[in-house]
Amino acid sequence: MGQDHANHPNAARAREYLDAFASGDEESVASFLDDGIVWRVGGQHPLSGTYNGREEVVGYLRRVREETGGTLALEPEAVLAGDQHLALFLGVRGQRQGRSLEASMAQIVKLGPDGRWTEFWALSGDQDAIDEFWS
Amino acid sequence: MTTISERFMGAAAGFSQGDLGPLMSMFADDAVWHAPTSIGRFGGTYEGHDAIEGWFRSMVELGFEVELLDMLEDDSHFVFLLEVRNGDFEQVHANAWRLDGDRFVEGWFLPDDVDAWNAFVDR
Repeated sequence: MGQDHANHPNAARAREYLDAFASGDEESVASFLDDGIVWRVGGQHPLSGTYNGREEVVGYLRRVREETGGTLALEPEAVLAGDQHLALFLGVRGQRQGRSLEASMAQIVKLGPDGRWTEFWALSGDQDAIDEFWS
Repeated sequence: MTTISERFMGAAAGFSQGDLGPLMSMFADDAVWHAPTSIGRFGGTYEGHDAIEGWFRSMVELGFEVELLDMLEDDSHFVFLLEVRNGDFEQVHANAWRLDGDRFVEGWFLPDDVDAWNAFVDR
């Protein structure tokens, strides 16, 4: 392999995505997503499921923001990228309906040839806490 | 200096034949392994060597053909993606691991399609 995955250009782009998410910039967030992106949200809570296409994913992210009053924060522990995939190790914090969330999460993204995100899947270190937070 | 990827490739060489010793030597004694709770008997949190090795052994028993798709690393994180196949079942599995020093202390197993996984193991 021999690449510097923490300083790959796709890692820098991923950090730009995190900035766009943090600022609630939907248009910028959408620009990272392929038209046909498949975004899988694990767990067993009302937002779990598979979101197909950019519009559905933007809608999902909008709902996340609305449900948490914009408090959901993704704090990167590490961002690694190559030409085909990127991986984010994150701390996730937020507030919703009097509940607080603090969990670790690993997220994996498959990249298309133009660098846009074509697939997304994630797993928390504490899925029960995530399920309870969203229920 | 040997990279994590190089160490992993050496340690995982015998994995599909059930030789897990070299790979398990890369894990801290108190390592924690996470798999989605929605994948039945393969899901949940596994703590310590015995539990994690038991999980790996269950995966070996599924008899997958495995192709390495990608590896990513920095000093304290390692990610590898595998395409696994068994008959007409084909899926991508991501494994994301954190290290403390030279030992894996926490890992996540992420199948790209939980529903397809469950259909396969329940067949």
